[in-house]
Amino acid sequence: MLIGLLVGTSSAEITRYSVPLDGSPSLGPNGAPVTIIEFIDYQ
Amino acid sequence: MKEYGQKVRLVIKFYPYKYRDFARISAGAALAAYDQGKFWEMHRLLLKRSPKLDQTNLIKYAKEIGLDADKFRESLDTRKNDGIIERDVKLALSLDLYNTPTFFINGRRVIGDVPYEYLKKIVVEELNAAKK
Repeated sequence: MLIGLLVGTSSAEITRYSVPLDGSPSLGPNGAPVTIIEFIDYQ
Repeated sequence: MKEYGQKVRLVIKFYPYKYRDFARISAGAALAAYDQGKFWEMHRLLLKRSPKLDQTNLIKYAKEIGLDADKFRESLDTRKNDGIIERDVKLALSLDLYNTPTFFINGRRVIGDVPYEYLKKIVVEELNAAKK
């Protein structure tokens, strides 16, 4: 019980940013469980 | 991230550093290739050939991956996709980003050229969390 509570607390500390996709170029399925957004500079 | 096939989606946002000569034109080149259905081919080539990203080289790369060179050149000359690049830059600034690459993995921010293993660790954590 206590362990469950601790896990809950630690995962709540992860900050998640909301980043709109806006139809940017993408690879992989729309419904993928993990989405990686990369801000890139080619130079 | 190829090893995760159908479980991971990769989305590219452009954040060209304004004081680098060819940062913006190469983002434009990627989008010009996108318009011709060959974004990822150009994306990979730009990463591989960087920093040789002046216009002459970009047109050479376009031909290399079989793009219509005239359309490609026109897209660069008219800065056709500048609006998309501007939109991404504004988004980056609104998120207080000052480094590339910066990643958001299910919203979790990772700044800089971190080792692949570190990115993988977060992806695996997110995949495991999604299974629950």
